[in-house]
Amino acid sequence: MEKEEKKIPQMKPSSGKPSTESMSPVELADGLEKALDVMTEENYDPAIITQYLDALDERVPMPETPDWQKAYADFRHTVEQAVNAPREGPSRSLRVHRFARLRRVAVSFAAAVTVLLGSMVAAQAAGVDIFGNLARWTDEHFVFLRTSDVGSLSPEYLAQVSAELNDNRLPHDLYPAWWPERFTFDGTDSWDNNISNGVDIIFQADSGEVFSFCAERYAEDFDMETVWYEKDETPPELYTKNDRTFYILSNIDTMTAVYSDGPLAITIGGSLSVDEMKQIIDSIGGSDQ
Amino acid sequence: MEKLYRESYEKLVCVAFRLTGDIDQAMDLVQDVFMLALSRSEELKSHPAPEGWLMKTLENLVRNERRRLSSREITLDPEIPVAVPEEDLGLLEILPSGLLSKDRKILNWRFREELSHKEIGDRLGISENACRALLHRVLERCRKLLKEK
Repeated sequence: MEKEEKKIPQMKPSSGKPSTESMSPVELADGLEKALDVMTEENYDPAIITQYLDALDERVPMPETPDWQKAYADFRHTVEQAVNAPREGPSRSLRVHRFARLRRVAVSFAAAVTVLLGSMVAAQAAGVDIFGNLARWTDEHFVFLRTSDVGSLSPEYLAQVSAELNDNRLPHDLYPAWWPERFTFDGTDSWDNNISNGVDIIFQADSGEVFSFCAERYAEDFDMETVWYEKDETPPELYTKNDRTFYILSNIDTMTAVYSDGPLAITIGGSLSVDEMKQIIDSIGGSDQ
Repeated sequence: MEKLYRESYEKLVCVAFRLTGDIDQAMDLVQDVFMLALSRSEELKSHPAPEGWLMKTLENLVRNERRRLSSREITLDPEIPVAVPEEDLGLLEILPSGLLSKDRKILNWRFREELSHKEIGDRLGISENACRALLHRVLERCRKLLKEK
């Protein structure tokens, strides 16, 4: 989303007095947020941020935190774990798990494609047209891929999201086949508990912006009315595609699109415009089984 | 990377805390920022304002975390009673054991003393948005503990 050139707010309290002494802690914290929001990397002013932090610390001191050296040592340890994670070993963190799983799935997919292409050539020679389908399998499961996506989407993306959806008992092709160019696929999260089972497909931009596509199935006895989606005063916009009606909600600086038909729910949320949201919705496959 | 840590870590944690209200969450997010910085270390070496890059990345991660909280379960768990009229039990006695004292404090402020997000933000030195997100996390933890009981 384009941002207009905005002036970085100086530390002025709502009362108009120049002194920061009259600013309450929440006014200072809100001011800090607003200042960060209008700054870009290029016009970032560290002095303004320091000013807000110092004023806040005078009123409500920070809790104790480890010094930078200990934090750096922890960081290095985490990175070393992620790089050296054994292929079949237990995951110690989400990042370790993600890296290890990406490697396993990528290798398996490459092997699967080799075998399938070999057999496809043989079948074609025998007069059987099977080029309408493309499949993927690993040691654990086998799924067909949507052929409209193959070629435009990376094999790693297709393999990983299909596997995660399938593993979590969701339609294996319930994923977006389009997203804005500034984003790249950044992995998946999944869960299975007594409330719901689901998969989050995460996308990240170089700027740090993120959006996610979440497919989730709630337990039969779960009361859907306890699930609330936060929004601002902008009325929801309805958008229907492939018999699914999404409600597109605005919440100040983020957009969320939600769909539910019984226990199955799809939520798309993050740094997206309404038009981008609609294009992502247009690209979703799958049937609500 | 060590230089970036030395120069920016504490300030990033301070900002993250003021935006989230949770020191553990703040430290996790700052580590995520440096993970991203690691993947762009070549670019950052020649960046005119590395601290600016780090801060904007932190801001985006905080925003994403708030979006994640708002797109899952949002608000009151009906299993948490706000008041028990028949007996004179306080809210704190009803909450599950295992809840951190800082979480109990926040729930007490919100549901017993009926403070607004702004008032809680004033007490903690965090923004209103940070207070909303913090309350969501506390309720998630509370719900999880109640389910485990």
